[in-house]
Amino acid sequence: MQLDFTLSFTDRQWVCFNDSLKITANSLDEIDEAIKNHIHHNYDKGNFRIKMYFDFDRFPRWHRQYMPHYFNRDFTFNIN
Amino acid sequence: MSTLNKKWYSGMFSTEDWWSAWLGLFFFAMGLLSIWGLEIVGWIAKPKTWEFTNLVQDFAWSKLIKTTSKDYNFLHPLVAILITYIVFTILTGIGAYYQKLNVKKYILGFSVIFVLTWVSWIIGHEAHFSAINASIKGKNYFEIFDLTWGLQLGGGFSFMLALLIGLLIGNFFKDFADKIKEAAKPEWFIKTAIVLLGIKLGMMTMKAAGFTYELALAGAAAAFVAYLLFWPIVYYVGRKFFKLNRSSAAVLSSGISICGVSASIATAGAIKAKPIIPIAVSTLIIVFAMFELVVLPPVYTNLAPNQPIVNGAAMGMTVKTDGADAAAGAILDELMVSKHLKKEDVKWEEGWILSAAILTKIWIDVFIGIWSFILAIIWIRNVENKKSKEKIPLKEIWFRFPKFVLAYMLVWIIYLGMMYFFPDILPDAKIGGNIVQGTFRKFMFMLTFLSIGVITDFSKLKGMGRLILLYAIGLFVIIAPIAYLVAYIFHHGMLPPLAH
Repeated sequence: MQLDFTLSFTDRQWVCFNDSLKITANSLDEIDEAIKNHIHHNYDKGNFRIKMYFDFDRFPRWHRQYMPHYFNRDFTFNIN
Repeated sequence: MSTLNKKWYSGMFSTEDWWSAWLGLFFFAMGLLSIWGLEIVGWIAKPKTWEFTNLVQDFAWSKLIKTTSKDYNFLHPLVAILITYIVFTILTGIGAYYQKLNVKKYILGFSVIFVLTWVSWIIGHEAHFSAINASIKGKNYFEIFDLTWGLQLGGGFSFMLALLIGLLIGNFFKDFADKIKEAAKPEWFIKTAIVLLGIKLGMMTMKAAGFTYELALAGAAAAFVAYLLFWPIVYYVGRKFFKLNRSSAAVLSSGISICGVSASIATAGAIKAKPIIPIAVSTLIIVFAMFELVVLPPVYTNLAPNQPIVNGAAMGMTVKTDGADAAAGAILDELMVSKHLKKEDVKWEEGWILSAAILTKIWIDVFIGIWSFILAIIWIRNVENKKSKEKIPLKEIWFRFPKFVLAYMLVWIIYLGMMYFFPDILPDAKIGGNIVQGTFRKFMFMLTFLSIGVITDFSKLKGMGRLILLYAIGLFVIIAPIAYLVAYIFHHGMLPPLAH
């Protein structure tokens, strides 16, 4: 199963969200853990693929002319 | 609203990078129509060399401005300027709309930048500043205007004046700068100009194919130097002597040693650093790029007046950000061509030194995606020591690839194709091509100079003492000398052809 998220950064914290979940954390590791917990409690066992797309609008406008991309993430994990 | 890069075509109509490609290719296509006898680009206005007392005695706009092509001589000079304004405002305004800029603010800002650019361009062509005491195409403006003194800077004075006006606005009239910043887009303007420079590269290949290929290959070698030599040294110095954490050292090393702001953002993304790190580093890079742009061209011109291509390539490796590098290359080109003409009474063809600077820089830009991809893998496995099943998507390379380079290469390849397969149409193609890669490109450069000045705020360096010191050491002790040595190894003795 694949879950897509938008990743953002405000007030010195990462924000990861989609239509059903919003997580705010100091590090990406904390975000990953929170997603795993969420899946553990809300889904059946199985393989999960997580995709995160960084929202480049979080960068100041004048920065965007230099590089229009920050990063996307793509990882999988299994819940037994 | 959000901007997510999900598909390979994401951002195709919403980023400055892509719009540089579209705008550049559009101008290029307009120029190509001369193959079929349609010369539709010659209306663009360009400044003439003029002299103050001569103008005051008998004022006429035609002494200051003319159309680029004689076919449009029937236009009053102010009408030519008006057409230039309308065309550029509409085309860049369309780009601004798709880039989600505030179009009203953009048009207002662009109008101000347009006027100031033209004021600088015209003043910069006053004979005391620009005329060189030598015969160019049978004319010696020093003698024509009976000058007793002159700076003899060629077109370089216009560039420096536009930069100075921009800097004054950006640093002393900050409220005004904020009002016009929506249109101060140096990277967009310069990347469009670089696409147009692809025409020049095509024409250079026709004239001296071996020279051009050698220049391109040496640029590739220079890119390896930037990635494999500069980066580790600066990273080591940052960690060992300045006690920076890994993320800050990596982001700063890329900014200083690779290609400036774009590299720092790409690197920060690759190692998943918090965005505040590249944002802070970017300010430092922009201000330092300004110093490099002002200091290096006259220094290289005076230290090595007989090594034009070496100087150009060294500039490409040393000056960060595309805008500042191209701007520095343009000033270097003007200063060196003028100095050589003044000293030897021999004129090198313009644009070759600039092309050396840009080709070197473009190679460095091209590899930033691959570099970031490799760095991301190393970072996950060796620095973070993660054993998770995180993949680095291959698409990341594409998202970070500078798209304007594709347009630059396409333009070059089309010219190569004409050279090899349709040589008969080349003379007609060059009619429009020369106008587009000449006046259109120079106008985009002028917009760049003014815009760079407007967005550069020296006061933002406050509180960055330690990073400033590292940047200064990295640049002047490590990068500039090694870059010059590498450029010398690859390019020494290479000279631009003579202008006819």
